[in-house]
Amino acid sequence: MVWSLVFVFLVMGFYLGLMFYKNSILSSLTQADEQLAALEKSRDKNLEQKLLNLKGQLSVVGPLISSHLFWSQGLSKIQSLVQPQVQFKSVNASSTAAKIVFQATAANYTTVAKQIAAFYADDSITDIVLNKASSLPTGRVDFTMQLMFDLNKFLVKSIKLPEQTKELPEQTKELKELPAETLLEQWARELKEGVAEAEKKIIEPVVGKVKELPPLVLRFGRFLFSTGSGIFDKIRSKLIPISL
Amino acid sequence: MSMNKGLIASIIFAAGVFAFFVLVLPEFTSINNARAALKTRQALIEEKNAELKKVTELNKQYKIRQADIDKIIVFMPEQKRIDQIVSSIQQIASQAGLSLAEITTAGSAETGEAAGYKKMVIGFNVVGQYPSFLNFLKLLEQNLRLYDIFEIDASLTTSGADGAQNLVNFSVKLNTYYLQ
Repeated sequence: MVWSLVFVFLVMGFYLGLMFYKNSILSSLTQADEQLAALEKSRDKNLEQKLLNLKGQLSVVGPLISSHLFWSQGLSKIQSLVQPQVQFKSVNASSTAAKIVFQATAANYTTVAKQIAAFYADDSITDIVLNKASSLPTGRVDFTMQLMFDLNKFLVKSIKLPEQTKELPEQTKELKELPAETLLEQWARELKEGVAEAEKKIIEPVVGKVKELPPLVLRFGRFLFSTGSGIFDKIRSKLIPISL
Repeated sequence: MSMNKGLIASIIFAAGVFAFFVLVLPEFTSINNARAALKTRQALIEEKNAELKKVTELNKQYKIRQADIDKIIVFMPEQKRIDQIVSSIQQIASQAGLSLAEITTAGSAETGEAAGYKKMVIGFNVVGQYPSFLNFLKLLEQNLRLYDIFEIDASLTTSGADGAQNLVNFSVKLNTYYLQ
């Protein structure tokens, strides 16, 4: 009987203990809810939206700039390719079709042909269609032409180096860094030096030998070289001042 | 008497067992649930605190780089800002020596929604000479708000007063962008 009572008291005591513990947890839960509500209240939603917008803006800036189209570049290119005797009447240019259609007049058919050749010379123009060309009563030629172009070469300014240029050998890098003018000057100097060397080694000894020949042989030699060219001219020019 | 005592003891014990199952066990379940809820809320509080700290830090950075961010906002505004477009095109045209004849705006059917922005088509006519138009294009390309021209139509229009200088009517269509 006593043990049964002890058991019941223990159960009741345990229950009461759990009740207190549960109440303390529920109280913590209420506090956590209040804290969450306070945190929610302290949020600056405008600021968060502003930051989110900035994130969106930053993510699109790069791709849009890299595909930005420069029509001033394209039209300047066309302008530089147009023949002096060609006059434009109307132009329709479209980047979506990658095409320029224009109507113009030229002095004659030769000018039209020259104009087509000039457009072909530019690597950004991929195809040319001469829609129509007809003579006008004034003698000029009226024509309509279509130019198809490579959008990246014609309108996009960004220059992308091929992958292999990033790993050029050291010497090639030096060569690449050297200005073109300096290279040309270097080649011209080497050519001049080569000619001088050849003159010294080939022409001068021949002239020296000739000078030692008897007068009759010299007269024959003069006749022989009179119609010569190239290296003979050089020798001849050296011989002329020699009194025969 | 001893039999009654044993019966009473058994009844008390049974009441104790009954109380355990009816009172104590449900309390256990309820406490476990409350503890789980508290844990979730505490994790949420930590997360929110970290987010708020991040936002405060980002706001600091935002204020430091305000000048650069202002440029980005002009480049890709949050709204259409048609007023800004009209005034900038008018200003650029007059700076280049062209006269703005007409301007239209329309939402584009093709949008860059996947990329996170919307396109808007602007069409306008300007009248003037070709060198001025070339200058106009250069100024337009340098404008902070991005204008991507996709169509140009040029045709000769009226002659000048002296008859020597032909004016050209340039019809331009371009895409401009704003955040969706």
